[in-house]
Amino acid sequence: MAPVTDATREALVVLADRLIPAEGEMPAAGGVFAAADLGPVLEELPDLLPAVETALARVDRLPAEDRFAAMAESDPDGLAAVGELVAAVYFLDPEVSRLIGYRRREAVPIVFDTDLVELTRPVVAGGYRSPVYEES
Amino acid sequence: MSETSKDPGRAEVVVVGAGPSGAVVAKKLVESGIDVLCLEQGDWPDYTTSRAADERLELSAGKRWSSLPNVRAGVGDYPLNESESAVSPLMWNGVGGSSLLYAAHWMRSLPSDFRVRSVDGVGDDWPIDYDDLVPYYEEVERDFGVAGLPGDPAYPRLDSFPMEPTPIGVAGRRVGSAHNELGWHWWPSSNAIATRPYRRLHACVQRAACMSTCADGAKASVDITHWPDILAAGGRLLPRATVSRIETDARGRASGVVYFDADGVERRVQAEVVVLAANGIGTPRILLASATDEHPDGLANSSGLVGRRLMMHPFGAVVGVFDEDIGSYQGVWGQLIYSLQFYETDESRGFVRGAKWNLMPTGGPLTMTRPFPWGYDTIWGEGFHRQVANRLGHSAVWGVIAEDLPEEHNRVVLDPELTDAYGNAAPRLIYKTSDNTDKLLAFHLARACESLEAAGAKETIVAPQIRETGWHLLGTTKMGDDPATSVVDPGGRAHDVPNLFVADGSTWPTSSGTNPTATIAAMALRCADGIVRTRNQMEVA
Repeated sequence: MAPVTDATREALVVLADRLIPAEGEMPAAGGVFAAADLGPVLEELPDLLPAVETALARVDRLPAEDRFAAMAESDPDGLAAVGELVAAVYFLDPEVSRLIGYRRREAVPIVFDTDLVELTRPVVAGGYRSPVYEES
Repeated sequence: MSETSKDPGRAEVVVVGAGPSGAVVAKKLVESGIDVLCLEQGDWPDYTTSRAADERLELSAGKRWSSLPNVRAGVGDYPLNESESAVSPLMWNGVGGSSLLYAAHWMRSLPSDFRVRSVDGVGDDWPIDYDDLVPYYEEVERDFGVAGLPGDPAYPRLDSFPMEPTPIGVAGRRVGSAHNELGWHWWPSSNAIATRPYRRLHACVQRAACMSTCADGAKASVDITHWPDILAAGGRLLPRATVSRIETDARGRASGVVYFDADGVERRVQAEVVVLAANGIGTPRILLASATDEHPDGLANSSGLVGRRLMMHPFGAVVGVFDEDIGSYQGVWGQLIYSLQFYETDESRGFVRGAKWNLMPTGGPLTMTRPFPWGYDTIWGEGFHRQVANRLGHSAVWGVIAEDLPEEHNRVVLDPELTDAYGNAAPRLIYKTSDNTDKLLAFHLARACESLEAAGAKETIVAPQIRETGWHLLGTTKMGDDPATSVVDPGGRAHDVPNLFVADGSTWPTSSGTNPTATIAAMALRCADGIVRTRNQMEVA
């Protein structure tokens, strides 16, 4: 897996702030992205970085502040790739997870529903019209 | 030298494919004292790479555990040319087959599914009916370990399940109650998910990770439910053995198969009986690749139907967003409830047949940002956080499985250029959805919106049609009584080759509108039962 270059990371930090800006207590994604270890994400999504780099290359002649609008206008697939990477990194951040109230999928033992027979009584009463089957 | 590089010698029965149908066949044959060797192109699943229990779950389906073989490009995967297909086929190639990644929705076909020509004047009737399959359904439901609530009036002769049903959740309760008000059918779901310790399965702990592999060992995938027992009983399984073709003798009997081992060495194994269980794409691919001067259009293809009538169940979805936190990123996934309200034909709707609906969770935060199921309106920028908060934990989705009518122009052929790692021709798919399907989906998606609105959803969103929905690969070696219009007989035996069988969903004359694993497994068991009963009289090479 090729490392993320400083130039790519810097470009993504700017885009990240446009994709996920700060609001209320939620931080903007740029700061989260700048400090993040991208390894865990890219290990799972190794095909994503080339797509992101291709998208960035298409807008690299534009001023950094204009790239988001240009991608939104003319390269939705590229923007989707950048968005997937930025959002993946953002939501893996423990503080972001805490702020949105999301926890990883913990083991939750099953508690059976005890009222299903009652809940389904109207369905049973309504029957089912099979065009071919009459129970003997 | 790897295990797969050893010469397996010969076998009484060679089974090609270690997914659900291959496992069911192998189990039945081994239990009946028959020597079975299964060749599987992929490997055993490596659960240590599963992210089901950690925070990277939503990423893991992007590559290693992707359901798209062209994305995954893993051991055992072959490339697919799908440039002429409206739908991308989804599958897992390895021990366990696509049961590794399925959502474990366990639905029998309905009685009308076997009588489509008689009832609706389209497609074909099956040469068997629902009652023929009931004893086989009952046996595979025990072997897989199905959790459900008996009593659904849509299903005759379904009197019990091995386990109590999975919880229907807040969303299932809301929508089920709404259907009661509407007078619409619904039912707590049947899932091949253990709700308590059951044979080799552990009890589900509701990580909502079924479609990214169940690292908890609670979902019935046949690498857990079947293969350990098969191997313990003396069956043999050779992973990383890629079958390229079936060989025949001078009398046209199958004499064995040719495969490439893990080191790329071409090998042969002789067999008295060959059973194909390689799914609706892999099975016709092997038959077409087995062409010789004696059968230039492929093996068992005197009807010309091998590869034709491909059906993949076009899929639609509607999300409901609720004010209430319905805890929808954790639970069973799996289906919470299902509905068959609009399953049967009503001519006033302007199309034939129908669809089954399954209510499911919507996922974690990353999923809240993706075009499916949320649509292509951008979420980025101002309002991002409000939108994520609006959706996360507050949404549930009706999945709509549309019955796909059999059409001969929808087909699998061999690609003239694309090959797998061993030089075998890759499959090329030619598939488009029909006008009937388009009308059917439009009707059902509108009704699904009504369902969710009745349940109190403040917003409903019809998901965009996407390519990546071809879970169910059916129809490409049609079953029937007439050799001129079908490939295999009602027992799965090829009309042209008396010791060659097809045990997977390829044999289906019509697709039903339900998740197919239950019926694939029941049909595979019926096929194996027939092999056992006729084994001594079978014409072999």
